[in-house]
Amino acid sequence: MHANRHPSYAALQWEQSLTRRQLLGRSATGLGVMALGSLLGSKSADASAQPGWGKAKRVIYLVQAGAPSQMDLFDYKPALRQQSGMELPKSVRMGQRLTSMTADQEKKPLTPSHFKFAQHGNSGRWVSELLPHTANVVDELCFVYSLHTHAINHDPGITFLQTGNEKPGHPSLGAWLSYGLGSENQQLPAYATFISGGKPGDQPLFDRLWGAGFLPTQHQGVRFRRGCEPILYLNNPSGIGRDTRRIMLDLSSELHRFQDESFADPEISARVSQFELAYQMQMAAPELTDLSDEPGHVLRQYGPHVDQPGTYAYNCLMARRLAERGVRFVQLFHRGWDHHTDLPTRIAENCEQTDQPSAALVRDLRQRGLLEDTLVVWAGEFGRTSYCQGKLTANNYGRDHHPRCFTIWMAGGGIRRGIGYGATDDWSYNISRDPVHVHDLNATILHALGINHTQLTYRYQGRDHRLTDVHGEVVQPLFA
Amino acid sequence: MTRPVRWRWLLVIWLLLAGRVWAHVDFSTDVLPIFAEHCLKCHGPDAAARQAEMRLDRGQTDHPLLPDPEELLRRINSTENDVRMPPPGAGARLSADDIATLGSWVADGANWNEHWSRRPIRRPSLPNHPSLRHPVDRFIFEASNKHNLTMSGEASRGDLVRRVSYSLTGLPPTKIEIDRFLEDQRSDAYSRMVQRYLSSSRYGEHMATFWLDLARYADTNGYHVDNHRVMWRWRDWVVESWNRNQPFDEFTVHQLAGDLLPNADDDTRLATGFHRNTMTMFENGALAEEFLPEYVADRVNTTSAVWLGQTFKCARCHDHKFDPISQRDYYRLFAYFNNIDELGLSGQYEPPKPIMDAPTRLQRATLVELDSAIALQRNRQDERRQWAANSVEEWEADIADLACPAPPKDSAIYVAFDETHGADLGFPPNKIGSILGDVLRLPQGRSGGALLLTDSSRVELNATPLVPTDKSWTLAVWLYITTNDTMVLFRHRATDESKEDRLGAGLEIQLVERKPLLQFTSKGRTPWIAKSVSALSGNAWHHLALSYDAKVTRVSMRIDHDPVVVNQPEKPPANYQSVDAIVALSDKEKPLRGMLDELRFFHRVLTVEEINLLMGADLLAEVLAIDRDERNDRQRALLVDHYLRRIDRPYRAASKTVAVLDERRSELVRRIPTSLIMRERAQRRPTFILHRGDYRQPGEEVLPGTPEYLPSNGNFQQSRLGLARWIVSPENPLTARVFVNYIWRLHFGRGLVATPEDFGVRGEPPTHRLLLDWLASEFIESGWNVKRLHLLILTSSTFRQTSRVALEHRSLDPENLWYCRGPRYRLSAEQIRDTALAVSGLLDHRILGPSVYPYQPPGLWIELSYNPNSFTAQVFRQSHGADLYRRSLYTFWKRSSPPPNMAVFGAPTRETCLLQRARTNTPLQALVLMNDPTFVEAARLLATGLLARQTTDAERLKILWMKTMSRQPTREEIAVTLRSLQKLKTHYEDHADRADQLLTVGEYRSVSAQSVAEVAAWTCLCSVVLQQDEVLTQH
Repeated sequence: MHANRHPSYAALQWEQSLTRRQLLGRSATGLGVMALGSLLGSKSADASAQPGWGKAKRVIYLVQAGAPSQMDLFDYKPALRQQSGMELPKSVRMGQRLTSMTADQEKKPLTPSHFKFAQHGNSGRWVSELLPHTANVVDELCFVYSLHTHAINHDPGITFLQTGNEKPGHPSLGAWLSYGLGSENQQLPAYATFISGGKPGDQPLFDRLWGAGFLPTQHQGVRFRRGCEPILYLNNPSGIGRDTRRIMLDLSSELHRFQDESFADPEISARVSQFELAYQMQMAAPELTDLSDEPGHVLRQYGPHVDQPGTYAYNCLMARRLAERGVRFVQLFHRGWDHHTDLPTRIAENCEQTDQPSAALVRDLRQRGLLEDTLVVWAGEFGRTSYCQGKLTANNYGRDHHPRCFTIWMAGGGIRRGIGYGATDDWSYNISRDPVHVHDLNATILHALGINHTQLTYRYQGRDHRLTDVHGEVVQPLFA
Repeated sequence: MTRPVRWRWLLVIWLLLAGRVWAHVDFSTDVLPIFAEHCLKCHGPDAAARQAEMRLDRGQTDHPLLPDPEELLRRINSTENDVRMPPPGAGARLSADDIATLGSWVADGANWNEHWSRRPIRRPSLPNHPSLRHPVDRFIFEASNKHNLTMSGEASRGDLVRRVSYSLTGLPPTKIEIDRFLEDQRSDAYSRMVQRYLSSSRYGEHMATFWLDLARYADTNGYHVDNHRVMWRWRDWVVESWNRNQPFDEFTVHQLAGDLLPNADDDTRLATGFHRNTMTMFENGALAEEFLPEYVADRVNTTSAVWLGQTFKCARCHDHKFDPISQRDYYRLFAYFNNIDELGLSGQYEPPKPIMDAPTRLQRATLVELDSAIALQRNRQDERRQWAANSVEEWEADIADLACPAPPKDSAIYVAFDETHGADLGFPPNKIGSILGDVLRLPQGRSGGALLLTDSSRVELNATPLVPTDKSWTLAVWLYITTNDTMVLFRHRATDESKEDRLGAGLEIQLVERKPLLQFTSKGRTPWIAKSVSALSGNAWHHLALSYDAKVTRVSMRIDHDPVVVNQPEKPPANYQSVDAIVALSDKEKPLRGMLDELRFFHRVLTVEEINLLMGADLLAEVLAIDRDERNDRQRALLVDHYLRRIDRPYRAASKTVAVLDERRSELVRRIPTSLIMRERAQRRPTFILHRGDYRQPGEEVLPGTPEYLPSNGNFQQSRLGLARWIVSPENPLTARVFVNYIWRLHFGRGLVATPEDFGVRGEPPTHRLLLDWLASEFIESGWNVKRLHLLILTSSTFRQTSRVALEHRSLDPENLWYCRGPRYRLSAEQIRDTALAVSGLLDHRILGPSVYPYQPPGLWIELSYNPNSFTAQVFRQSHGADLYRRSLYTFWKRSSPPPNMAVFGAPTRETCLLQRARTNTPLQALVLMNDPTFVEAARLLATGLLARQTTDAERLKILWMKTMSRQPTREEIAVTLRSLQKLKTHYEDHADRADQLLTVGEYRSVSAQSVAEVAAWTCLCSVVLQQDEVLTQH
């Protein structure tokens, strides 16, 4: 088995004889390595002089699907307490559109968080009592309080977060990275996704969120799943052992050799390599999910659910193990943050599931020295309203969707530690300082990986498409 | 006049530097791509972004915005920052090659011409190579000759039949098909073979697969919850259209505007589903006004991409940067599709409107049959009735002793309204309900007391009869109403707002302008309404009996004892969940004004006699007591009715038959699939140019119109039909070029234009422009005959060349741009799966039908789902039996989670229109081929089939190779394979348990006389063969 930089390695070798122009015209073949070549072109020289450039080698992206409430977790708004139950001032809302769930709601009573906030760490970041573990690692984190987006619904909102476009058809961030940077470890997918949570009524997910859009399909995220078969079709059928498989693959290679002699098409040897890679993946994946080599104190950090496949805790541990194995992009989706009603109890439940593992992941990466070049991002698709959806009572409230501001955090990969960036007004309704659009966030993530977001392009239907469309500014102050 | 001299000088120097020979340079294929790459962003079609009022993309030489060619050369060649173009920061300098090309072009006279794809299609003359008979070959030969390439020899006959079989049917050839071709010694054997495949019904299925990607066909609504949508009848329409070789222009017009044709019928209306394949949204909180334009935009993007070879997407927000498509053009095209009678949010519980009933041919025929059988029986009944009316004396005595004195007693609810105890109806503890609101009085009614209701009183009954739509029932009541207002008589419906998903599910009986009406309601669904055409008269007592017969889903009503005509939907009501709702009489908003008496509710359908008895009269006895001659018409009819229904044998036999037929008919109607279609709104929805594409920023209003840069459509109506006809008018330069390019790609794996999704200035220019034009004009002249186009391409020597790569080609033409060898490319996802099913004998040969659910790993849907209890297509329920083995185009396509074993081979999500799939080669594909039960089961069936033959292993390999690769194995291949087979046999002989396990993969049970070890070993062997590149590749 030769060292294989790319799934279509043999084809690529052959393509060396093609001109670049021809290559660009060929949308059907993968261009990972080639694309990288073009990204390191003249312009990147300027960007590389800027802080943070290329500090990250990989990304772990913790998607909190359903949109967590920023003012119940991070965006501390004591002023809301005095105005509890009062109407959201018109001067604040400024006629912005609302979802049809609350647009016609007669009263929009301001709703303070029921949870206590305190300052933590040397950095003194405010964190709600819902997140005691995250509070412990705030000095590693960089909070951005001023994220914003357009969509007011989950489907377009999360599609935008993932692909830079509200409508289907565009590649996800992970697919762009697979296309642009290729993979460090051929035995595992370049882009791995995990799902946790998901009770009836939790917001749905779609394959397009980790899809390749118009990029060749090989760049799409591979869904890692709970259970004995973490990757689809990974396991040999019952009755075929590894020894039998070897006999079969050997026969396959021999037969392919005859075909190669006959047709002289490099795709044939490429096909053989894919089978060998699959065979290695069959080894690598069980090693990945075999936790027997994890010391007890590490497992304990991630909390009580870490040994249950399919939980957020388990997925966080998997993310670290994949990062160690050189997987470029790992994305976790935790479902269940859509709290239109009964927010206090439901958000507590979600925090119980995610707080400890998220914090453990950051700490674990730090302890292993991986945080230096691993960028961790924690984000939902938008924020929630500071007014109550439905009736505000002494013990209960709910919040509608709010795209105009929300809070995310990042850690590692050259990002500054223990800072807060941007700010919202007293109602956590509008941004008062340093807005960061989702396009800016994506530009920043690419910058951390050493990619100029204006240069990572793919021509489709006559247009050079980008993850950031024609927008996006790298948020330089986030970098150390 | 010194300047021209100077620049000619410079030009000579450039040419020398670039080392280029003076060659003819074509503006549209050589120069325009350079401008597009470097200049058009600021000097192109986008008026808003245009700098210095200069435009470099237009062909007209007299265009006022053209630059001075000399100035242009000076600028691109300059090193001074304030002179050079592109300016510093706006882009890199042009390469020496590009500059030289521009130089040659200017030296040639700087001729501007229209972009090649927009020039009128003119039939080019054939290159003169008399030795080549086939026109395609002449064009190909001319080009390859220029590139010093020689064409390859013909492929083997085995390869040819395999190649044509895949090209036209997507399946491998059968043994019979191979033999038939190999044994045919006639000189036209090859074209006969092509013809055979063209007339196979598998052809339509294969062509449909390609079209479904373009049409973004799927079985779910797409956005958010992504629930089930019934659309397969449209898919079947596509299969059948290809099979009957519907001319492509007609195929186009039917899909874009089949509803607007003067002779529109169900078939042409069904075709319009093409543009209802758009995704639909109903997420809670979403805004209809945001999504409605998305559906229309999707149609604009798809129409322009599929027929005009170019997406108009960019022009939604601004003028196109590279091609002359203005934002105005975009919204004019938008206006054609902006008038569909659809909703911005829809599809939650019922199909997104508009829809039609789309019975299959069989259903239609059965319906006709049933209707005529029912009519026949009804005729017999009419005859008997006539006879009975004329011969009363013969049977009157027979009905005299038909007695039915007691009214039925099995009612679930009975309220006599004779007594009250405060607000309670009936004395406690037998309280049967409560009176809410005003104090009520019990005046004299039809029988004892009656309930008098005012507009502020209503009754809630304690009874909770559960009445889902699959249960029959009857309500009987005396009514005395005093106004024409809409009023609620009886309601059994949940109104508990906390139970969000169940709000309003139930039934309600109203009086609308005194006409009784029944409606089944369920949240998010349109109410199902059955309404009487007759009204009760006001201020008089009437007896109303209303029955719902679940067996035939029919509502019948009798006012007093007379049946009334009831209008109800043909389709049965949708099922709703029974709810723990209370029964209410009257309603706060729609109060009943008048009196009620003797209310009964039965869990069955009552007979007319029983209803009469409930009315408190034995009418039969009353009528019989009257002298025969003194009876009026109604009374006579009553007697006849009694006689016929209760005594007359022929009449009763006919009734029984009608009942059976009726039930069958209603069962059939229940199963008739619907399909989404286009239908125009009565009132035109205005279209505005949206600033930056934002639905909240409408600008100038526009009317429908075709793009200005293309030949005008003055002769066509400004309707969708006009647009469709314009698209396929011979003057349209794009449609035919674009389509022949699809077909070329289907056969060669690559289009003459390598970017079928972009025929614009940034797309790849055609490798063989004249061939493309020749094929396009030939296609139009043939009457857009698609099968003829296939035949034309497939009979060329170019297509028949061997796919083996000659050494010189490997370096000179690695991509086979010049077609000096036969095609070789990986089969599609569908073809790979279908091949495994076909060669193993598992393939189910039925054509058309509802989508099926073959094997997929468990849990994939539910992990992403919203709420499996409330919505369809949230939990994958696998098919069994033959449905597991249908061709892949019949696989249920869920957009948010498409079939995983096809997705890894590049099958798209079908969320948006896709013009070409990537042909990747990945380890995940290897895993599918190795481990997907589909392929393991196919290998097992292949193995048992081979082992059933009484022959040697070597002979079996020959059969296997013939089945899968259409050729004999070589001696080496046999030797190598037999060696591994021996190893596998030994292994499974030592591990019989493993052999047993392997043979359980897949649901198809097969038997073999051979030992399990033998079968297991062969299964492994066949699995390996199914993984061979040669099997997975068209060549």
